Amino acid sequence: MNLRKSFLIFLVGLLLTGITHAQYSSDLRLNEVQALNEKGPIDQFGDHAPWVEIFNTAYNSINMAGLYLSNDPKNLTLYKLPNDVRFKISQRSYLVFYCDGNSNKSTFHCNFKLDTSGVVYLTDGDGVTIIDSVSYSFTKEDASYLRQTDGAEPWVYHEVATPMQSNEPPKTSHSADNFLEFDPIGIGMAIIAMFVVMTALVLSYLVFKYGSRLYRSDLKKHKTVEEAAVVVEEESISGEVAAAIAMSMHIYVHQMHDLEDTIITIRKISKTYSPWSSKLYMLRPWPQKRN
Amino acid sequence: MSFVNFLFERFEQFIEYTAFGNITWGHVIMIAIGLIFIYLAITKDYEPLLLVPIGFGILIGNIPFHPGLKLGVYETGSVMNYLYFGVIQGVYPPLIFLGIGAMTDFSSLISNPKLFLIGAAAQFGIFGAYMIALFLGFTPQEAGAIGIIGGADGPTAIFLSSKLAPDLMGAIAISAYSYMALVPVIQPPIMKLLTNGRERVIRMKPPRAVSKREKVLFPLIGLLLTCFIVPSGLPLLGMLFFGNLLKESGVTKRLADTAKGPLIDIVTILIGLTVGASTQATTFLTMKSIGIFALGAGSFVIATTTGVLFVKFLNIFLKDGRKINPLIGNSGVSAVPDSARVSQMIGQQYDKTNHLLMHAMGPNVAGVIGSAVAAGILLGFLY
Repeated sequence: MNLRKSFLIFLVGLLLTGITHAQYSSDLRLNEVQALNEKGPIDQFGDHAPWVEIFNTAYNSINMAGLYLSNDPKNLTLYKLPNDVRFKISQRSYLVFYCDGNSNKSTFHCNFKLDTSGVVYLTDGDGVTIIDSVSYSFTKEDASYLRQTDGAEPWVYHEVATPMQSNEPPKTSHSADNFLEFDPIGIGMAIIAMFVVMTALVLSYLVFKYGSRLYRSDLKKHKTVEEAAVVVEEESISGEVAAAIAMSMHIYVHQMHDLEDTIITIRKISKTYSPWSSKLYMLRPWPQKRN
Repeated sequence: MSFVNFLFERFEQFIEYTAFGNITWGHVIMIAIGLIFIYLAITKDYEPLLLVPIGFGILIGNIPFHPGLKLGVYETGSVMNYLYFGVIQGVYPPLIFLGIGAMTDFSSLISNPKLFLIGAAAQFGIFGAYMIALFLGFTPQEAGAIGIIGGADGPTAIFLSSKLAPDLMGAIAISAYSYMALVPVIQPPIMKLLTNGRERVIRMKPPRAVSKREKVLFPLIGLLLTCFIVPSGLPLLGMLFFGNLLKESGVTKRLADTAKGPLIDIVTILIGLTVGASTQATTFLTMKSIGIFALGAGSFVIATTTGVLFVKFLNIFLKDGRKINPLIGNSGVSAVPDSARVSQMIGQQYDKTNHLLMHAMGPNVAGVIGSAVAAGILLGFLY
């Protein structure tokens, strides 16, 4: 088989080995729980049901199929998330599962029901590794127990539930939104920002142009005449001369070519004897028959 | 289950755990890009200190693996994820600025402060790209993060994108560093197009000698001036000027040597490798990334153009003998020292005895300050 055929087979092999996408189940977090849902969010049948929200903290999508949800510490595999394309949770986004014990409604309904207080477990596909769990206790209807910041501690009780959206309160006056609203083409930003950049650097120009006259001489007085002479000599080399020297060195190092490349140098290689590299000492001698 | 079935199942499981079992065309494309980066760095000498770590990082980030093993840069708890922390939290860029400050000689700028203005003019590239990005439908935060590519400053681009658009950081960083490496390709045609023969041979007055006192006071005054106007630029400008004070004070040689030597080397390795690894095909290969690359090129072109044109504009007001060679206008793009080197090379093509390098370093380092100020403004307005 020649090389080209081998390469083709390799490429086909690459294709056939299939395409799978990244799944980092450890990056999933239980993000919000609502066990007493009376007037809160409704499922696709218009019913109010207890629910949990899961948040993907990663910047990759994660396929949740095969993971488990449960509210029983003795049985972490109560509800196995089946193969469903909708269980592929996008980066930094959310999925809500209704825990109403009515799993025949849809795959988003679990076969267990959340009580007023309890624990919810999200378990990995091995049925043993707990990815995340949350303990809650509700006393008020339609309250929500949620992470104050998505995917992070601490958990807090909140009067308003935020299913499928960030738990963080929306910023009322985000400056970027203001810019988008009042300056959609960015000309305002360009003018303001260039004005500030120019101001900062023009001020620097003015200070160093006119202010530097006040402090040009050196901080330390030179102790001896010789020392001062050395400094004067050093400072008398103009920038142009320094640039010329630097440039010529650069060209010498990087661009100079002479006939050296075409000269073949034959160097005699000689090995000096050393007992450390001697075969005589390194090899086991052949057994000699003694008379 | 028969023994044969058992063996087949185990074999299938093994295949799933190999890279072959998880590869996509996206991974193949990204690995090819990584190899091109390494090739360009080693054979063409294009920014090798950056492109080798980034290129290798791309290889690391795009070797497919079975998920859940805590290997990938995006997997919480993986080693790569810990190293990536310095990028997403904006830790590495200020440390790199510390090193840059410790190795930069601001003498040319101190001796000829009007070069500050060229550094400011070249920042038009940032806001030009910002406007185009908004027009293309990017959000203001994304547009700001993309625009900063025109500042030609990798650490600044990473710092700002980590704050404004973390999702786009990989594409922005790769774009910024790619175009910085391509400065010798992008800038010369624009410089030649915008200047005439007479302008290209303008000889500038040699910069005067700068005293130690001026050098010591420069970072102090520079910090106070710029950060009082733009406090949000403090992480970058603070570290830049601090590094420069370590260098110029003369009494902290050891600290300056560490900042410009081992420290910046370590951080460069970490930032290059992790930014490269963050370009996982599944998150990187999107239409947005292609848009970012196009906008990055546009911002470089605008920055170079405005830099050169601004010098021509400035020359209208300057007397003969004090005029500035417009070929140093491109150096306002703060790719230090590449853009200054381009000024020197192009200048030499028209007059072998005219050395522009020292003059070009002025706007070049002013561009570093200017782009950090611009980043501070964008952060202040959009964060």
